[in-house]
Amino acid sequence: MTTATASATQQTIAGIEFPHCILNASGCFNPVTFHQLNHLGACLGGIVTKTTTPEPRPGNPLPRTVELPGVGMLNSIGLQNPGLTHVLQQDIPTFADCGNVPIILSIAACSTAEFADMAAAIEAHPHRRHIQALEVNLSCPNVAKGGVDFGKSPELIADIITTLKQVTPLPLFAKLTPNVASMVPMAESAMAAGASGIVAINTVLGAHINIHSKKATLPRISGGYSGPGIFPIALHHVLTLKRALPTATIIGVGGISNAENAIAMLMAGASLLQVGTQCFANPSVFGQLHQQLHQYMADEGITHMDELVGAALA
Amino acid sequence: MPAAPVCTAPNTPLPTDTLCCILSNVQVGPTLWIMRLLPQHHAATGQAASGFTCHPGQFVMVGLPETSGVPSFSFRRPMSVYQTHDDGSLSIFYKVHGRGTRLFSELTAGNTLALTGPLGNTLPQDAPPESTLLVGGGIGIAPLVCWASRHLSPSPTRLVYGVHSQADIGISDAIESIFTKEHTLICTDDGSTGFNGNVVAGLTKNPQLTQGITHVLICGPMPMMRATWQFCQTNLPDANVYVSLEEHMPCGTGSCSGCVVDVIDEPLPVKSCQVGPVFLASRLQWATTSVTAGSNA
Repeated sequence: MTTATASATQQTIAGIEFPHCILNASGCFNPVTFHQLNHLGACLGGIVTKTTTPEPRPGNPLPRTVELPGVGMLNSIGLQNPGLTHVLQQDIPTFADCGNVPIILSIAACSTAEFADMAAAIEAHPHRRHIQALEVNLSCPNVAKGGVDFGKSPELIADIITTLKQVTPLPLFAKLTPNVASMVPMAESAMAAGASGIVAINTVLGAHINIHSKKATLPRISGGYSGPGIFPIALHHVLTLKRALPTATIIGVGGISNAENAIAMLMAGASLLQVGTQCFANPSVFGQLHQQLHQYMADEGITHMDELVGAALA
Repeated sequence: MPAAPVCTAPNTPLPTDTLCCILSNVQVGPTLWIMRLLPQHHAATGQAASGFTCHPGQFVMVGLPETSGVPSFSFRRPMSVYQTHDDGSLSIFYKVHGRGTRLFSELTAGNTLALTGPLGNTLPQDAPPESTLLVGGGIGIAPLVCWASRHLSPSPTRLVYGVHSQADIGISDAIESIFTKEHTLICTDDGSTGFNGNVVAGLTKNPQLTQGITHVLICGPMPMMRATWQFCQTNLPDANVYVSLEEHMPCGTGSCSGCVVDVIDEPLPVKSCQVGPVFLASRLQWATTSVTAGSNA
């Protein structure tokens, strides 16, 4: 049995050498436990941290998740995190020991000024050397502008990316919401402001009602829908974004659960992939996808994954 | 400040994610089953080192079987380790009360399941058996039996076990083989056997069971654990009381923050799958601890 060489799925994006093209999605992945389970250096392209905010956040009341059998889950975690100082001081050096793969720090804030302050704190921290890029989670409401979601405003996205670029030389990947009529204006704005790539898609808004209690299961009523059920939605958005922005780097995420999904997402135009919710159903998913992707490439006579990227758009 | 695990044992093995062969899946009550699992590679090679090494109180995340051979998304189900065996296999004791556990009950010897573990911290290994009281409710008995089975036989440990009815005991043979009659109190809601009432009523009526007790280990439904902790605060104020939480756990790996509990002096809720599932009862913020907690069905 022949498989493609290890370098066949290596990617260099924004100057960062990713040893594999599949990363974890933010918030679905404890690097320490998964490194124990998987030996991440052999199968993971990089670690994306859980989103950190400037200050600690306690998150939302329980229950925070709903299993949706067969199709995925809803979550309403509420960005529980210990805050930037703790993440920089405690978590980043720990993650650096988990497979020696690039680390992308996911950040969120509630105003452009807060984003800038976070970037400055990251730049000033001795553990900055472990961080290769920032993923800018644009899901928060902008408290300074009446609660408008950052991710739904091209102007606000441009403002944040431009501001961050002035504070940090780290590559910025803008994680965008699909809960808009079209993601293209947001992606165009992020790229024009200097983002190194677009992460598409974040979770899709969804809800669940318990027909016995006659109430919404999640205390906050709606949550983020993720898992295999949103894969066609994610694929649609990545295809659309790549058509509109053919030179932009797209990191494809949303419902990738098997090798067929991963390959299709590459063909839609993604240069890197992230896998999130499937980690819960299958903690060995990274090693399996890595092996199956290499096998597919060998079977198809593909020497490097770039031959797959955007193939469906040709 | 990260929350320190209250009782992580030395030599706690690292978890693995492995495909397991079901050695047996036996019904032991109307809705109760015991499933014994052996890592498939271990079954093939017979290498002792590749079997399960678990400490009492730890749990495993068990994947649901694929139906019709088609992968289908599901959370894995957290299951306390009930028994470990010399051949490297482990057993779980489970109640069918939802889609996942129903699928488990339909499996037979020779079927396979994915399993991640062992996970979580442990019940205190240094609690003296002769002055320890175990209080179990329903399938919450599983980690307590596992703990007691690691000690002297017959165990000098006292056991109070609450179930709805005699048929819900499921593991009478194991209880009788580990614990002496004088040290065992079965409590049934319907009075079909043993003491007619819940575990707190049973403890109240049988003060000899709490004499000289220095450690109490509790596992069961949250209302039962809450009531038992309140009993201990009044009647065993100096005892070290531990609870093993059966929170809903989507991942079990410390990844999702879906199973958090509030702990005194911790600024943020802590992940019960990672910091727990065993906590000192005195450290839990009982006022905000979920009353709807229960293992994934």
